[in-house]
Amino acid sequence: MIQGLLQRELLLHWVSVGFYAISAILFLFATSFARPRVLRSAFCLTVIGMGVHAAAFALRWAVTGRLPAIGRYETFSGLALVGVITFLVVGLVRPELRWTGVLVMPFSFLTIGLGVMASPEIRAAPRSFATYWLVIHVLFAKLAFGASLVGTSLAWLGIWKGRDSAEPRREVTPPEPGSFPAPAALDELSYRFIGLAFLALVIMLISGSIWANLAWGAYWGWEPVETWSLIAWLVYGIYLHLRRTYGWRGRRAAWVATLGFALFLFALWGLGAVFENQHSRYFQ
Amino acid sequence: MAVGLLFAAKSLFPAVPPLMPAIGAALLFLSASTGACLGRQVKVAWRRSFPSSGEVWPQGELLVLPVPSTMSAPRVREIVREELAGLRYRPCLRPPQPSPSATLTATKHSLGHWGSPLLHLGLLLIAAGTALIAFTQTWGRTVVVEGERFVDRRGDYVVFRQAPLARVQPMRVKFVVDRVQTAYTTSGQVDDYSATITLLDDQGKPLRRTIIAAGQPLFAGKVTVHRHRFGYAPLLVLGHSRQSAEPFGLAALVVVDTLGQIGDGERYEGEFVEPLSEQRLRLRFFPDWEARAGRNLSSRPRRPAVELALLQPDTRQTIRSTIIPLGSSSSLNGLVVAFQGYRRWISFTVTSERGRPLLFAGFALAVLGGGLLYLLNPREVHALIDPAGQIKLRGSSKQGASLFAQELAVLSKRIEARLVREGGKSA
Repeated sequence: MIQGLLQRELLLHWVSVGFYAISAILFLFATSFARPRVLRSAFCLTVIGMGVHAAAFALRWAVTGRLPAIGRYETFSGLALVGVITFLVVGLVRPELRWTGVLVMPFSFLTIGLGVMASPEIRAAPRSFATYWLVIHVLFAKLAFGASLVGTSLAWLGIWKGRDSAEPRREVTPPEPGSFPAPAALDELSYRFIGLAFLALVIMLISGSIWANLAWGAYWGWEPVETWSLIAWLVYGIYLHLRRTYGWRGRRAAWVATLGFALFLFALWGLGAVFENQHSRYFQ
Repeated sequence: MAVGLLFAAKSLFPAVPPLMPAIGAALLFLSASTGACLGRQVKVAWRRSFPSSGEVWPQGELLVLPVPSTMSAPRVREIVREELAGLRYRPCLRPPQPSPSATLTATKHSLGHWGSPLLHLGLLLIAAGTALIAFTQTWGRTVVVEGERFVDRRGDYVVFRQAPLARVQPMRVKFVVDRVQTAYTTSGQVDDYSATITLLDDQGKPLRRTIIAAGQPLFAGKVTVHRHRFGYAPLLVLGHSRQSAEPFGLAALVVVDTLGQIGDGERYEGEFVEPLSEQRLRLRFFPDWEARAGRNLSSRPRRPAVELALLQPDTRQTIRSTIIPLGSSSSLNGLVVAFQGYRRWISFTVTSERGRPLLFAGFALAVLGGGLLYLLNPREVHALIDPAGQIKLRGSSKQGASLFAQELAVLSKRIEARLVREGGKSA
């Protein structure tokens, strides 16, 4: 019975990988050749892919009886799902920002691809996982990933569109449906999304340390994932200050945002494979 | 603040990484920048509280809309007010009495002004809580054998590492461990463990009995007791084979720690110096000797055995070893060893910290402040009905100038449409 459900769940995951791959190609095509119609199709495919992905994730949650956050398969699947949901929410609220799919979708495809290549075997959760702090910690880590992915994509999309001008140009006319937003608006939205990622990282770090204290009697252990997540958070803090206090905009700010995103990715993806640590025991 | 944070981090977490200088530099930059930002905000607040005569209008782009000559100023003001309310602004007239110089001032998301101060205050409280913990914490670890009452060598209390300003001198914690329970995963490996502990008062009377496990520490007054590790303590009776009349002369309870999960089941290992011959011995405890991986799912050992190995004193390489099942004896290099029983042990981390409420309050404030800061964008729109037949619109927003400019453009289009609809085209 469980084996059958797991096979269906794996199949659904692979179907969503297919949808994400096609939508990533369509987003690239739509952006390269400025085709709003293709963009709409890509967005619709992403919605369907997300639905299938969410069903797979929910099925796994039901089968395991816990939040799927153990092992590379579950972790990467969860990260991709939250990244795509963040993008879809942004795209539904502000249709002119659907162009960010050109960066978000290939990245989400890569993330879920890395996940489904890992072993889908179910691993039992240790007793220390039976706490709501785990849900807060993991969900906000994923939200931080989704927000920083969308934020960094917006920053680079703004630079790409405004590449002819030195500074992002401000336009007072609201964008027409399907048209490309002004580079300055993209730059500002990027700032807001990275602000959201910063806030999610605060919650992730603090809830993680409260959980660690409850489980092991120590708030912080300077283990690699903790340390690099803290560094990513500090870089995002510096980014926000550079923008608010020192007026950094455009390309310079985008590079700092990208550095923060790269550090966060390194903490999420890279460290588990390099160093043995508390996180990698559950992540690998 | 940054220096304080670094110092606190160094005291609280001795195993700081080599990246600490980079983290310190980032904290220094953020502190300096926060100071600069705070100074600027105080300046702005001062200007707002005591405006000079020329500062009626805020900075920003000015939009001028023509008013049809058929419309009266109060009606135009009413239209502007309604359109502002339609965009979820809260308009009010300044000064409140209608006059040609009265400005319609509308605000939106004003609560967002509190975001940045609350976020920074929250982070400061977290830093203060961390520092307080670092300077006043009493912290330590101890091993308690199942069924035994914990007694420190220096008396019937626990003396732990204490921070420079710790006032709990010494921390009095007495407890007895009634039972240690292990939990297994389906693979047969130890997944987690819990212990039933009883807290005692000064006379040794039980105060509280509770189960302590991962995520379930014991909160007792000022102290918190967390479980840390667990293992076994085999009871060995040692003697020399030469003393045939009294072969077993010494009993030793050797604490062995978790070695890991190695293919053939659980193993626990420890080393000790045998006091009669002063030979160094390595002891391994097997809860289920000859068990295959994945088969030992019992929370109690089934066929326990110890492996005793004689070690080279300098290189610690095994010279000779023997396996002794429970209730049996064996000889090793002239030493007779009997394995007579075992108990479990658990080690605890006991802490007393005063900074925890500050830490939690800071967390709550930082989340609240961050939410206000990033979800709300405070903005203001000022509208002046000019006697010359014009509406002058100008506004400012705390962040997102480009998006605000678009909103202002939408507002002006709506007002224009209303004016045309109600008053006809202006000249």
